Amino acid sequence: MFAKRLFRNKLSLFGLAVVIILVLVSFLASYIQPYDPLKISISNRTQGPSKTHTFGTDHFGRDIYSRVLSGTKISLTVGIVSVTLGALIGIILGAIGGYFGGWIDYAITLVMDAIISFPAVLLAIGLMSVMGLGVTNIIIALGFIGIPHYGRIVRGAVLSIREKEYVEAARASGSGHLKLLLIHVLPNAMAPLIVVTTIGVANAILIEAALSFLGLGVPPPAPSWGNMLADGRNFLIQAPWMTIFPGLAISFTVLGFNTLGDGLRDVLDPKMKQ
Amino acid sequence: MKKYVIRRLVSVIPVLWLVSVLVFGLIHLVPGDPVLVILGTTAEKDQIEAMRHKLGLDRPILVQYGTWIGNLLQGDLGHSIISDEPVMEMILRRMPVTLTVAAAALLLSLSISIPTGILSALRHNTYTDYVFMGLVILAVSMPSFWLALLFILLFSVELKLLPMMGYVSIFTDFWEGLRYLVLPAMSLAFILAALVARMTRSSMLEVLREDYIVTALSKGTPRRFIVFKHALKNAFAPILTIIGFQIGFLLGGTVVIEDIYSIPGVGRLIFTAITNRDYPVVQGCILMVTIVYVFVNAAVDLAYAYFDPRVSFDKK
Repeated sequence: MFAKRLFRNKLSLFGLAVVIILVLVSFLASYIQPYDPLKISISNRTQGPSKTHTFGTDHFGRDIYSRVLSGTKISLTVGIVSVTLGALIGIILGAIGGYFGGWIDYAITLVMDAIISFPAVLLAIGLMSVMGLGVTNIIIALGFIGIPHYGRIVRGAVLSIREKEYVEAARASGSGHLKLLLIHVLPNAMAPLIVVTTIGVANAILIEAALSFLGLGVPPPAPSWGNMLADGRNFLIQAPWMTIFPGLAISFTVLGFNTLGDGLRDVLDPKMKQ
Repeated sequence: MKKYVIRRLVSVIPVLWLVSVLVFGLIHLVPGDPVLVILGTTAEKDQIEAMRHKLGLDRPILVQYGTWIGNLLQGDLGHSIISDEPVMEMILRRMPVTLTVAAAALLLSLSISIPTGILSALRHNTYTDYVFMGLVILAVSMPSFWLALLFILLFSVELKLLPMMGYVSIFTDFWEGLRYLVLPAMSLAFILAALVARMTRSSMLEVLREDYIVTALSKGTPRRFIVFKHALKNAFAPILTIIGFQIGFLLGGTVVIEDIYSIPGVGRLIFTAITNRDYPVVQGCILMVTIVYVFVNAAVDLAYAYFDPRVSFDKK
């Protein structure tokens, strides 16, 4: 039923196709990239797009097409792993807060409100400036920033059905807290969670690109799209292709996850569709 | 309404307290000894001790926090490690620049998005609607810092219409200042405009289907009057929410955009401080921008209560 509705929705179908292509590219990048993305060739530097170098070359003569393909893996890894981390912690905290209520709920809600009070990019910049560069640190920083977005959804879902009769009945028949949460409560939060995590991946990819662009993300010479834009910025006039293609890759990826998220929202919650 | 205003403002206090704890804790996330990270491993022992004492790191952590928050409540964010200037003064000097850029972006985005959203809703399921919504989906996917680079390429390098970088205050020279503001504001406004246009459209669609609108139409009330007087006011509460959410994006984005256009705001200050490992300045900037964000959000909530009075009663 869900799959049928998903495939009927053009928006989600487009997003899904883009995401599948990106996942395939990230796995197959080392086989389909025409050149080594790290190989320096000074004689080939800042060459425009041509038959030999589809997207041109950068200031070190590295093939931009190969670097863009290779960058897919970094972006998807950061996006998906950080969202998974944030969602896992958020779900646990949101469920505990909503289910037990009282001061535990107040404390958890307060922490979530505090995290969400920071402009996300600014908090990411602050965390990366003290933790240091690297993919692992980006994942930790973005995961931390994402926690309240997932936690709030789960807390809301738990609060809305905590007192429902079937939950009371399950409790009376001896179901433990964990079983109640996993079987009766969490499934109710799945639809909004799926939508928010999908759009969360797009946001995480955007913030990772911004951090790398500012020199606070993935350390060079790794072919992260943000790093490539940072390089391109210094050659904006001589070699605009160094800026155009990595930016297009980011936009295409974010577009894919956003449209998938929007499509899933239409499919999972038809009332939202206008 | 008065009670709601007081309650909303009081609710800010615990959040700000926890924000202060998180910002204070930042320096303790530095791997290893933050003093060695600041001074380098070749620093002399007495230099290390002096810096540790200056940063207060030679005292128990609770005492450090107590002193820090006590000073903060008196408007003292410490001194820059590099220039020894008071951090608060450094930030207050640059904050108007950041807020001017953010406000310009917000004004620009609202002037594009609200008419676009209304038009899209009025021409629901027509080509105008499809084109606008297609543009919205595209605009939301483009990183603002990439757009900033493309705008420089187009408007400064190719067309030579606008300055590539730099800043002139609009309070010093309005027209010249405006020329310097256009590209940064456009770079930030694009995504924001797209999100607000989408919300305006869906919110207007919902309101335009309400019975009272149908009744007003059937009584012969002019359509323009209905759209602006009845529909827009009622559709405005959800639009305000999305604007409130996006203020954070705007402030964070401004920090990045300032780096690209060499605008001497808080963003540039943060990056210089990060390069110099000037942690008190980094902490101060993050804290002050977040405080602005928290209060802007509180103001948006209060405005929401004005547009939708049910909000203030719901929370009783």
